[in-house]
Amino acid sequence: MSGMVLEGAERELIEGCRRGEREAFRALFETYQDKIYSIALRFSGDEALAMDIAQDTFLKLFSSMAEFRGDATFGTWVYRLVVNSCLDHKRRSWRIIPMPTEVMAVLRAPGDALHGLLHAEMRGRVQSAVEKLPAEQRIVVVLRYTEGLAYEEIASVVGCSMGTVASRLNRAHKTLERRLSHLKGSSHE
Amino acid sequence: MSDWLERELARGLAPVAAPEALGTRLGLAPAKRWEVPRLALTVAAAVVLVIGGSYAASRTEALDLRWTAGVGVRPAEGEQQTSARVLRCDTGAGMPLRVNADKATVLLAHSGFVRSAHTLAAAPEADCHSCHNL
Repeated sequence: MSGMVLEGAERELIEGCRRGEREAFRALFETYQDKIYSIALRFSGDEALAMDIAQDTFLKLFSSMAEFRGDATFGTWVYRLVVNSCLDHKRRSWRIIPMPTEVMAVLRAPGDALHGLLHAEMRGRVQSAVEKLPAEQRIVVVLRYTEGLAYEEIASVVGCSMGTVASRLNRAHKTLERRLSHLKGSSHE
Repeated sequence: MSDWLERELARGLAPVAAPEALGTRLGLAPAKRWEVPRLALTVAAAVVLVIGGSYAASRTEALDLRWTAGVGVRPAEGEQQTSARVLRCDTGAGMPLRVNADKATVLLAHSGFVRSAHTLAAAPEADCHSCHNL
């Protein structure tokens, strides 16, 4: 991918940032804050760490704006920055304490409130299982399911081939399937 | 991969909104300022005005004895009329007043108690305990 692939508004925004215009920085921040924070949170599993990662990413983004040459889309470039920030940060050692099976059985009882609790618990289990994946698998899972990126886009962001992306996702799926299989019956629609 | 896992991953890894604190940390969102509780201040000011106003009004009414009584204090018998501005107790007591100087200021205190004009008229100078001893 080569050449300047920027939308008009995005180009103006980037030019504004390069000129040091505060409003341009603010607009860029508002455009990307949710994406960057979401990736950071889903990758790290920790809100405080996600804040640090997101802050680092924005600081890199603002300081290295001049280095953006337009070889890829600006969005892809931003994704690269946040992925690098994620991989640079060491994960914290805390883990979600697994809930006893008996409690899970109680939660499986019918009732809207219990269903809500069950879904929340399920989300926690899924996030916990994702957090335990190796970093290179975890980041492709996050980009795929949090941002909904295509294999090609993930390959461009991570800097590998589409085959590698597919392979990492396949391994991650198998691991997650194995770790979460005991919860399969507890998900109510 | 099963549909179940696909669905749970999409649900469990759904995007979230960045907290406002992120913008504050980057200096791009103004920290929440303490907002002046205008309504509370207005109510407080109104209460102070009402209380202070009614207090000031009562004090003014009590001290402005001329206004309250509506009549002046007559000079004592045999004394000539002077240009003194004389006051009288608003309970209705007529007090003979000796004034030798051309000008004098007479201050009478007022307690606010109610006396019948009849009682005071009978012995005005003897029963007005609230007034200064003139």
